[in-house]
Amino acid sequence: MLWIISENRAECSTMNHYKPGFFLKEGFNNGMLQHVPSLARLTFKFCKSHGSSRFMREYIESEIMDLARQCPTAVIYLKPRRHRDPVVVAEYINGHKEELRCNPFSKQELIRWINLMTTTSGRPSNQKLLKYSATSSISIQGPWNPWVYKPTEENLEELPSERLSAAKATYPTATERVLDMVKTSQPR
Amino acid sequence: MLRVLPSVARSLASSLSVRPLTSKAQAVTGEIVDQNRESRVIKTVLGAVNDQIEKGTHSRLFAVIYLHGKQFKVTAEDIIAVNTVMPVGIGETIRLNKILLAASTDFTLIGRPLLDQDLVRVYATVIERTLGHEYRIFKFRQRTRYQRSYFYRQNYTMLRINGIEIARPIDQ
Repeated sequence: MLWIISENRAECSTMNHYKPGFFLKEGFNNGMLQHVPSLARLTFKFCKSHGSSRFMREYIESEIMDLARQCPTAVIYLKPRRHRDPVVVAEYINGHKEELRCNPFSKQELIRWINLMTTTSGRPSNQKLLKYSATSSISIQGPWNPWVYKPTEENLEELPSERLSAAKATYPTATERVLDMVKTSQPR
Repeated sequence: MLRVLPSVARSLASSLSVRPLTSKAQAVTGEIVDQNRESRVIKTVLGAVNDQIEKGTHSRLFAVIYLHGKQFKVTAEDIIAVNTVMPVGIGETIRLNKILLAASTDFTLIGRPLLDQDLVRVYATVIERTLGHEYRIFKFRQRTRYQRSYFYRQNYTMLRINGIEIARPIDQ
């Protein structure tokens, strides 16, 4: 049985080659002094009578006040209209708009999806993360190069130099070991 | 553990007005060697580092932190993406305890393997909890008609590094 699963799954599947990538952005240094939530507006569209909006109605009855308390900076709209599927629309301060059809979702699934919408920062969901860190500052101790912490007397060596171009032996060669054995062995 | 740039070490050695011990060969030839030189150099180096820490004259600090089985090299104002769900709300600030290394341009503090928790403090704010892109996990069995596709999205928590501070002198 072939399972196409690996640590780096994104490279396994050719589907993902065509997905746009993104890097973490520095933004307006959000979170340095205080955090500005990126969700601006949440719109719940639902039907008051139809069965497909049943769990959305349950969510609105029991959870929506908690949601409003959790997100004091976001505006929450309820938009009833007749005989259409339930939809949640999230709009973010960067202008991104995410629309999610909620017909097959139970109440528990709705809670999780809406929690996701409140905690993301408004990025198209098909973009793949290319790098796990982002910085705006330059290297502090300087970038590494092959001459970092090398003895400075090598600068005075005249090139070409036999000493510098010789291979560095980390352990005795086979020839040296044989010679050693000959030296140390008892004469017959 | 303490490592000092060669230029700093050289200036310190010259200030000691003692002929530096450069190789073992010199010691064998019978030169007079200052027995306390090593301890005095260490004391001077620690003093130079502590002086920078107390006065706050050191450059921007960076640290290597250990988080969720991975190591990140961070400095203030960085963002890192951690591939996990953290039980921390958006906008809450946490302190990262496992610090492997903290350094400025002039000195490096290396933990064995971790630095003391009271010595270096790294703070981070959770700015985003999100999901990655959707990818397919495809299961396939040869010569049967077994094919399954499962779709999955990874969890990510984005942290903003607020700052790194060295709280006290290093030899106390």
